[in-house]
Order: sequence, then structure tokens, then C-alpha cells
Amino acid sequence: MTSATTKAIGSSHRRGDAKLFVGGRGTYIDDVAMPGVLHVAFLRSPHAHASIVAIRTADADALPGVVRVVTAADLAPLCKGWQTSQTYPGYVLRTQYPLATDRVVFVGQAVVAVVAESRALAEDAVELVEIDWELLPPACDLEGAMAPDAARAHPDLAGNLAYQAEVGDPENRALFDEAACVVEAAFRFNRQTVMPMETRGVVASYLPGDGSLSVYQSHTAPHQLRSLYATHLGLDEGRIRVICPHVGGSFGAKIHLYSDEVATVAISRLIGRPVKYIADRMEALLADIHAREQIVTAKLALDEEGRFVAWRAETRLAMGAFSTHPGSSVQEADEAVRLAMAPYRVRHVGGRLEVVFQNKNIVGQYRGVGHPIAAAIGEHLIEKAAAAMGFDPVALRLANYVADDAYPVKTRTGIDLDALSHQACLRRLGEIIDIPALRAENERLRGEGIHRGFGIACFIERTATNAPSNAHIRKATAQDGITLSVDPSGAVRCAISVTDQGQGTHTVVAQVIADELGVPFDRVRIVSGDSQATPYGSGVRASRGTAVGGELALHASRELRAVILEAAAQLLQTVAERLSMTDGMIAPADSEQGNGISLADLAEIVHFKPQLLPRGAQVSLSLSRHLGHDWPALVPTNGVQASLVEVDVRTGAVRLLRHWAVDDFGTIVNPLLVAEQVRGGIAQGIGQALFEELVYDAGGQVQNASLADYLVPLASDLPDMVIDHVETPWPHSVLGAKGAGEAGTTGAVGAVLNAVNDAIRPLGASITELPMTPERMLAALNRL
Amino acid sequence: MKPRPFAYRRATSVEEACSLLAGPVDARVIAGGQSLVPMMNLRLVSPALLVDIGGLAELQRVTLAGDALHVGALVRHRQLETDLLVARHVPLLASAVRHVAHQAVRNRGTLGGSLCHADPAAEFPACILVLEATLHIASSGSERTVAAGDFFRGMFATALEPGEMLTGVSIPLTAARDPAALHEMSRRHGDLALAGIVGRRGQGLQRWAAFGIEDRAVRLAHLETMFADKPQAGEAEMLAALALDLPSTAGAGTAGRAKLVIAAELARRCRDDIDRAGVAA
Repeated sequence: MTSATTKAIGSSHRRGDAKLFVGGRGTYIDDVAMPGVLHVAFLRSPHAHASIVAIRTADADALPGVVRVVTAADLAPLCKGWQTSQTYPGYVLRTQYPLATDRVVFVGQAVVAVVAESRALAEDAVELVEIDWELLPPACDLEGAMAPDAARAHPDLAGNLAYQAEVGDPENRALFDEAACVVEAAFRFNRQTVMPMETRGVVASYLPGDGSLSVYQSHTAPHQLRSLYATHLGLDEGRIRVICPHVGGSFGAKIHLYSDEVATVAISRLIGRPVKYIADRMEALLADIHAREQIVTAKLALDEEGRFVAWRAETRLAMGAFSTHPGSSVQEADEAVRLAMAPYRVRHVGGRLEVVFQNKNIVGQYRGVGHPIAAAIGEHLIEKAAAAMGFDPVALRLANYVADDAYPVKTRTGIDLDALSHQACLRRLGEIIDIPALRAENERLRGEGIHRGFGIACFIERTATNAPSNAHIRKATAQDGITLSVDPSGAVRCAISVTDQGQGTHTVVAQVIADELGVPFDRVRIVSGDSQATPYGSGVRASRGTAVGGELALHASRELRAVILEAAAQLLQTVAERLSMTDGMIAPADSEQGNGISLADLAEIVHFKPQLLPRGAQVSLSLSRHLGHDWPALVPTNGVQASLVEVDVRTGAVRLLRHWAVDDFGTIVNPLLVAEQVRGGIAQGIGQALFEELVYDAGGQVQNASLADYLVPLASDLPDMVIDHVETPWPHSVLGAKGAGEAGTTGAVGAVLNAVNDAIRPLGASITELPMTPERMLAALNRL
Repeated sequence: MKPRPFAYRRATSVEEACSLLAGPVDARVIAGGQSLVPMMNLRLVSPALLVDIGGLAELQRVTLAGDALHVGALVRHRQLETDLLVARHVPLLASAVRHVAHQAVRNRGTLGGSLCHADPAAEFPACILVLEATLHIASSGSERTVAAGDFFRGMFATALEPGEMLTGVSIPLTAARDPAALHEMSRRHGDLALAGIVGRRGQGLQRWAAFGIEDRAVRLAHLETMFADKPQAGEAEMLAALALDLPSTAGAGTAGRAKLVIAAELARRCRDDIDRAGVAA
């Protein structure tokens, strides 16, 4: 084990690159410059559903500065089209192409690409392209999507149902009929999007001379991209290099592959010149993945003592016109139904999901993927049941939790859970909030006409996706790899397959290496995001950076440390077992430091004076390690959040007063970065609860495709947040870390929903549609 | 999100700006650019020529002129927020500006720009309606004035003719000293208003306006009469008056109804603030 004197793990190291970013010196995708680069702009469909009758490009072609106007026909010989790689039995799929072929199926779909000497010129030329459309009826109504006479998103299909599944126990009406109490609700989670600060972008350069392709892309999984481009463009994977420069946030938006990105790369292949495409903010709103849009009905049956007897949830997800690729759109609905009520002992848990095609943009995997909805529906009905039966909502949860010492368990919906701590987290929440006093204060204020509410939501997430269970997601998740090297100066180089999208993966990995190898934190440099420079792996998604990357770094560091100590032992004429390394100094564990050798001196000898070492094989101060099937596929985590709000019943405004989170992320490597993740996640959950909604009209037109109208919460809209932890290390890894990136979002939605309902329940009101806008609040309060 | 091609000229005098505006090509004044530039980037507007009046120092002043406070068209929101003359003589403007976006925007945006842009959800048009201000408009070789009540013609539409530019606003001090209040509701701090109400109570008169509700800032004649007759009117009466003043909103389903309910509450808050200010005076 590492010496006790230095401990990087558990300390709040600041991100070394943060000053770079704040100072404007990062290299984001639009900062990537290439001599002779051309710029791409897309003509995007103004219609939700229409046939393309004719495309006339002569005027655009003739505009000075325009290099090429590209349609689907131009790219067809280069790219076959694709379907999602994450398939399910019976999942109906439609093939996507880089540009729309004969029909457009959502507003914002890329139809024509213009390549020009500047983006402005390309946009000018886009306006000169003329398309004759034949409008088709758009399928945009989620409630009516399955009606026999409903418009079909794809007329070649018999209906709009893309996928359906029963989950867990079959419906058992008797359990509900005979229960002491049944609570139910119909929820509507409206469509939102992701909105990383940096939009998506690609710079692609195909060199006809040697058939090599370089792609710079704002993405979190370079190896996955490389494999996908090889497949879709029919190129030799060995000649493709994908580099993900600094990434200004992803939250899921940048784990997918988009048609405009494939089109850009294919265009470089077509014209043999470097091309750049940067999505602008309107394109981000229209064409980045959308998320969440589901209508859910759920019910919970309890016996007289308040024990949970039965649960059933049925959801319908508005997938959009296609499935995301390579990960599938189904996951949003599947996780919502599978994980609802997972923290509790419930005798009977079942559900159903339907995934339907719509003439809207594609719904994909946004921070939390289904888990925020699972938590919101379950926790809302628990608080509703507590109110109906006169139980304290905290006590009701404690009475029904799977006990912390009862794990591992498998849920009725088939999910393996281990090392969770609902009891400890809720107890901790009770230590940092005097809940009875807070409720009493709310009661007192209610007498003065001030309507405050306090709500709790606990949750389970499945994080740190790895290869084994998701092997059916071809090329989306793979084993991961790391290469560690000690340079002649004693500096440590780490090339790793997990990437950094701004959350600080590099810092965390460096901390683990510093401790486990025994070198100063500042002597470790991380390289990631370059398919040519790092071992193959899945990048970051599903909160896997620390859990997977940290574990890899730990094992590789320990192995390299053994190599280093072995070499040092030969120089110091001792045995490796007697040596340890701390802060880059190798010394006998039981004597003064002066008797040792620094890692820098050792590295100098190994690199330049190997003759000083005993004869034998050259000491190799570099090694690679991989982690795959020997790693559990998904790491469950849990947590609880609470929210205090004040509802202005005259205007429907909701004011957030305070927010609390207690999470169990197992071993915490960097408390500062974890707290940042939780806070940012809560902000996005609050966005879903109160602000963010992409409004489509009945004709499939997006009504608010700008940041003036699509409301992302700003710092001034957010409450103070109290972040606390319970640490139950993941027992199936050495590091013990679990995923921490999504918990904030997952818990916040239900917590705010419950707090608002707690505030208005005494008025006989309830709200189950998100976001809770003033208009919806006034309607719920029966004021309209 | 790149603008269509345009020419740019920086005017050195009001006269030069007006002659450029009167030229044959479609020209627009640019002052702070906080609304115009995003709209150009979205290609919602595409002037052939931008006439930058940012260097015209004579439009950047706040001055007392007889019985009015004159605010130049180029006075930035931040200046309104901090100007001592504004604070003393037109506290309504000083308080309204705190609802306008965030400081970065307020550092650039101008009063004249906000008025000429005529966003239905902006605060200043409604303020100058209840203050019964006069707008000074220049064109090549001539000047004219327009009463605030005649200036706003619809969404992003004003009484400005081609070749004209706004040079400033005169706010009568008697009106400006009356107790007045502004309340607005926006989804996020600094957003354009979901609904907003401004009220002023003078000697025997009521002046009220709404913004963020109809296609422009509008005077609320029925609400004014109602408050004159019944200063302590309740919600139902305010709602009835507002429904008459804002007919297209009243007919716009639940979304319109929600705006009216919110507007009535904001009107109540303004009324109560004015009552308190009146007592204090």
C-alpha cells in the first residue's frame, strides 16, 4: 500500500486545466485550425414530415466562395447509412443517412450541405438552395400516437410503435383492488435538450494521397468514433485517427453519433479537403439529442401498516424519428420503468414501456437516462401515500427500504444491486436538516399565507457502464486501457481511454496515480481523447470516469511501482519488498530517506545508463493494462435529495430556497470535483423540474429554438445547495469508487416535484407535469 | 448563425447618421447592439447598412431641461441605473432598469435602442407610456417630437419613418415625481417579462401600462378608470378591467388567462407600492 504521508486520493485537488479554460486558452473544437480548411453549413428541414420532390442547387453553386453543394445522392456511394447498435428484441428501426434522402422526418434534419470558404458564405449559399416539398401529415401527438387513424412518422410502417416491453411482474389487479390504500398519478415529462456550453463540432481531413482520415470532434469517445467511421464509410480503421480536443461539456449529448457529423466526415472523403462543421446554438436546440419526453401512469398499493405491496408504471416515450446511435433511445424509458421503486422492498413490481416514432428530433441519453423519471414517479407517489395515510414520509421510507445490510439483492425487474445505503443516507439527511422543525415552520408560515413545501426524493442509479452486460451495444462500450510511462526526468505519462469532458477526469486519474505510484501529483500528466495515442476504450459516459479510469490507474500504478522498486532494489542492493516510494523518492521503508534514490535518478539510469544496472533484460518503465470482463458491468449508486421551495399561489411562481443532497459514491477521490458534479447535476435537474421545455406545436414546429426562449436555469435562479456523503466503497473494485456524474440530476427532479406538491397539497392541489411553469401551477391551483 | 453581408458606417454627427439612414439602401441604427446583433445573426433582420451612432457624445447625456429630464438615446442601461439625476427625478426608470437582463447587457444596451426595438416584453416602453414622455426624433435637416402614446405601433414596430432616428426622451418632472411602481414576472431573473405592469398615480389621475402581454406596451384605460373610481379594487375587478384592456390576451385560452391572472396580481402589487409611497410622501 501507499505510504500514509501523502494522500492525493480524498483531497480536493483543483483542476490543473481550469485556469487554462477560464483564461480562454483551451483548445476546443472550433479552435482547431488546419491550412485550407473549408466550412460546412447545412440546410435543415423546415418541415416535420415531407417528401423531397426536387432540390435545385445551381444558384448556391454559383455563389463565389462556394466549393461544393452536397446532397444525399453525392454521399450515397460513400456511406451506407446506419441503424442503432443497441438493439432489443422486436425493436423496429429505420436507417439514418448523413443527409435526408427522399423524405424528411423532423424539423432540423440535415438535407443539403454547403461547403464554402467561410461559414458565413456557406450560410448565404444555403439560402439559395431551393427545395420542392410535398408535405405529409406529421406524427407529433404522443397521447394519440397509437390510434388507428394516427399520422405515421414513417408511412412505410404499419404504425408508430417502435418497441414495447413488459418489465418485472405481470399486472396483478387483485393486489391493487384489495390494498388498504392505492395512490396513482399520471405524469407528463416534457421534451428537453442537453445544452452543453460548447456545441458539437467536427474537423475532418481525408488525405487521398495515403487514404488516411483525421477527425477532430467534440465527443467523449474517440475510439468508438473511429470504429464507427471505419464501418460507415468503409475505410480501414487502422488509417483513421480521431482526436477529441478539450470538450466543453457533454452530459450525454456527445456520446452519440449524429448525421451532420457523418456528413462532414464523408464530405472530406468526397472532396479530399479538410472541412469544419460547428453546430450553432439553433442547430444545437433542433438537432442535438432531445430527452425525457414521456407520459407515465403509475400506481402504488400499500397495506394498513404502510408496507408497499405492489407497484406498476407504464410509460410511453416519444423517441423521435430514429433511434440514437450507437446507444439506443429505448434506454430512457427502460431505465425509468426498471429502476422505479428499486430502493424499496415491494412484493410485486411491474411495468410496461412503449417507445413510439414521432416526427420530432431524436431522444437520446441525457444525464441520468431514465433515472430522474424513475425517482420522480416513485418518490412522488410515496409522498402522496404518506399524506393520504397520515404517515410521516421519512418514516414511511425507512419502513420500506431494502436494509443497508441486506445487499446484494436483485430487483423484481431484474437489476442486480449491491453496497447501497438508503438508510444511512436518509439518516444523514436527518442530521443535516431538522426536518420536523422545518415542517413546523412551513406550517406556521402557511398560516401567514406563505406556501412553502419540503420534499424528499431518494434514488438508485446504474453507473460506470462497461463492456460485459452491454456487449450488444456494438462498439459503444469496450474494455478500457491505460499506458503508464516514466520519462527520464521522473515525470509520469499516462495515456488512458477514459476522457475528460470538463468534469476533471484527468485530475482524478492523476490523483490515483500519484498515490498508488508514490509520486507528486504535479509530476503526472494525462493524455486522453486521441485514438492514436491512447489504448482502446469507451471514453466517458454513464459516470464512468473515476470508477473505471481510477480503477485502471490504480492497477497499472501498482504494477509499475513494482517494476520501479525492483529496479531500485538492484541499485540499492536490497530487495524490493523492503522499499517504498513516496513523493518520487524511493527508500527503504524502515530507514532514513538519504539511503534511497529518487525516481528521476532511477529513470535517468534506466534510460541513459543501463550499464549501471545488473545484466539482464532492459528495465521497462512503461506498461499497459486493460480492464474488461473482469470488471462488473454496472455499478449501482444511491442517494437522497431534499428541496425547500416557496410557491407564490397568486402568480404560480416557484422560488427555490434551499437544496440538499446526500450521496453514496463509494470512495471519493476528489471531494471538490464530486461536489461540482452534484451541484451542476442538481442545476440540470432543476432545469427539468421548473424551466426547460422544447415546445413543439401540433405540426412539429419547434416554438422556442433559442436560448432566449428555451430556459436553462442560471446561477441566479439556483438555491444554495448542501452537499454531503455516505461512503460505502464498491466492494468489487480495489479503489471502491462509484459513478458520481449524474446523481445530482437524478435526485433533483423528484425532490423539487415533491417540495412543490407539499406546498400546494393543503390547498387541495397537485401537479405532475414538468416543467412546473407558472401557467401549469396556476392551472393546478385552479386559478385559471 | 452568421449575419448576411452588410456595410458599416460610424456616424460622427446626428446629421450624418440621418443622411446615411435616408440613403437608398436599407439602413439600421446600431447603438448597443444587444438586440439587433442577435437578430442579424439569426437572419431575422438583414440591413444592408449599419449606422453606428455609438460615437455621438451628445446623445449620451442626462440633463435637466426646464420642467423635464432629458435622457439621450445613447444613455446606457447601466448609466440609468447609476445616474444621480435619474435616481432623484425619475426613480421609476432607475428601478425598472434592474429588471433589464444582466449587467453585461446593461453595460451596452441603450434606452433609445430599447425604445426603438419596441420589444413587447421590454420595460422602458411601458415606463415612458405612464410617464407620458416625449420622444425626440431627428431626420436629415429636421426634427419632430412624438408623444410616447403614439410611438409604439406593434411588435418591433414604431412611429419612426425611414431616415429618422431617435435622439432622446423628455420626461416631464411633474409626472416623474408621482408615486409610481413597476412589477414584472419573468421565468428567470433578467428575462424578458412574462407579464409586467407599471402604474403611476398623480393628482387625480391614474396612468397604467402593461408589457409582455400584448404585441406592444399598452396603456390600460379601463384599469385606470377602475382605480380612479375604486382605489382598493379586488382581484375580480382588476381581472375584469384587464380583460377589457387586453382583449386579445383575454381571448387566448389558458395561456392568456394565466397572463391576466398574473397581471392582476402585479397590478395589485403596484397599487400597494404606490399607496405606501403616497403615504410616505
